[in-house]
Amino acid sequence: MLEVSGLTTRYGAISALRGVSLSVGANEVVGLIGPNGAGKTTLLNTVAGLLRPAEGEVLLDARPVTGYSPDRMLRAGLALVPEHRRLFAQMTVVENLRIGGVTVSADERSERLDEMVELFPVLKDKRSTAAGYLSGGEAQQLAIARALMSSPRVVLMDEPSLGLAPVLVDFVFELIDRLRAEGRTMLVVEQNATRLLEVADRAYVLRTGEVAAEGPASELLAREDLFDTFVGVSDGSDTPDPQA
Amino acid sequence: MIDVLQSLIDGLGRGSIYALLALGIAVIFGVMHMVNFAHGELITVSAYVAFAVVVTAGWGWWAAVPLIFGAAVGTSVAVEFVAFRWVRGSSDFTMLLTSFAVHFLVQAIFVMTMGASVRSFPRPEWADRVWSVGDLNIQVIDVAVIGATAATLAVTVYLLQRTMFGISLRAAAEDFDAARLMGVRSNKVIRQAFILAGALAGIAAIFFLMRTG
Ligand SMILES: Nc1ncnc2c1ncn2[C@@H]1O[C@H](COP(=O)(O)OP(=O)(O)O)[C@@H](O)[C@H]1O
Ligand SMILES: [Mg+2]
Repeated sequence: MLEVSGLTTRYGAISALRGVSLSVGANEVVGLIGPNGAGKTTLLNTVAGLLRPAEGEVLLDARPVTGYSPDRMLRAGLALVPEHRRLFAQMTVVENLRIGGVTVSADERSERLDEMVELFPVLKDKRSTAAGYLSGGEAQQLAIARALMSSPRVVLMDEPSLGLAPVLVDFVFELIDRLRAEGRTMLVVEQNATRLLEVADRAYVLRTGEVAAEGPASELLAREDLFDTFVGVSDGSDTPDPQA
Repeated sequence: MIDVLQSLIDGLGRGSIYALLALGIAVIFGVMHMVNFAHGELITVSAYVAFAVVVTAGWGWWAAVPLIFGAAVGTSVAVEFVAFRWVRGSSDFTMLLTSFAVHFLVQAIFVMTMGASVRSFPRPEWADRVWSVGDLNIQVIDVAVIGATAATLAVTVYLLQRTMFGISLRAAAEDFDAARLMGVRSNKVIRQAFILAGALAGIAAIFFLMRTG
């Protein structure tokens, strides 16, 4: 469904991704793990169209979509829940949702909006609250709901459980499971690698911009040489947000 | 008390025009983080258009109004397209310099083609009328300007709060890349910001010209 081959993305002279290839099959949940600075965010941002790759190719449904702008990617059916959520803090919950549906028709947008407050009941009572006032859990639900507003078939998530209390982390992983049951395809980045590998079908380990390992989630979990990527750096801190 | 009221009306009449210009500058700053020093040139261009049609071609004021408005909107969009688009995302200093450059370029073009002398043209007859209410002398033009500004601000607030255009603009102002990720198109939202800023300047231009001639 999503096919990435030989992807290289640079920030100036630094190559944050060096020839990364991976694939995500229809209705699959694929994990992407690796230490801080490995290039996970860069990979998702490049696939979503926020960054332009220097080399390589991205295929969606076997159609080349390399270098597409984010709005074209959304129209092609792929959405990203960005790192640190990037909610519009000064805008209300409903406005955040509406902007998530900017690429679809007005009718579809209001239909999706009703669906989202159904799916995320916490958002219902907070419709006209500014997103900046939401708790961490509410904010993460809004970030995911916002990305679902365009009915994407492929959803990329960048550390959706970061900074959440344990019960909310459970909620996020249950949600990923639920979205898969709905037929969606997902590529998920997590610091919490062990947790992710319990949910994911397959996973890739990224290290310094290259794929260091790949395979079924259960196999990767058992590999002791990857232990450092599972526990080593999940201290909750992160590289500075490049767009901040 | 009467003095205060009189000053208030005079002040609002004059200040409204600046408020409309300032709002346009704020809209552009919001999406581009550029302080647009060339924004006032929209009034300059509109004024020459007004001069051309009212004085040279002998049109009536009402016929000139849509042209003045159109000139401001058209110029705003054109300047974005030929100048500001190319420095989008550059350093604040680069953008500032570019807007200065546009400002001086427009001035220079008019000085070269039209000469530097001050032009004036007849103001609409009603603009000079004064209503006397007790001790208050209210200029009709002030009432018109204040009313039109209030209406314009109401429409602008509606656009920004209630329409997808407004939500996109506010999202882009808050976090441009996040707005792009949601599907907001950079070119489109910035062009729309310049249309809105141009429209606000166009309304300001109409009343500026009616007031000063
Ligand atoms: N905007 C940026 N400019 C320059 N270097 C960046 C930028 N964003 C990320 N990097 C660098 O690219 C590498 C990969 O970063 P990132 O994709 O954020 O990693 P991860 O998400 O795996 O922690 C890091 O070395 C980081 O310092
Ligand atoms: Mg990251």
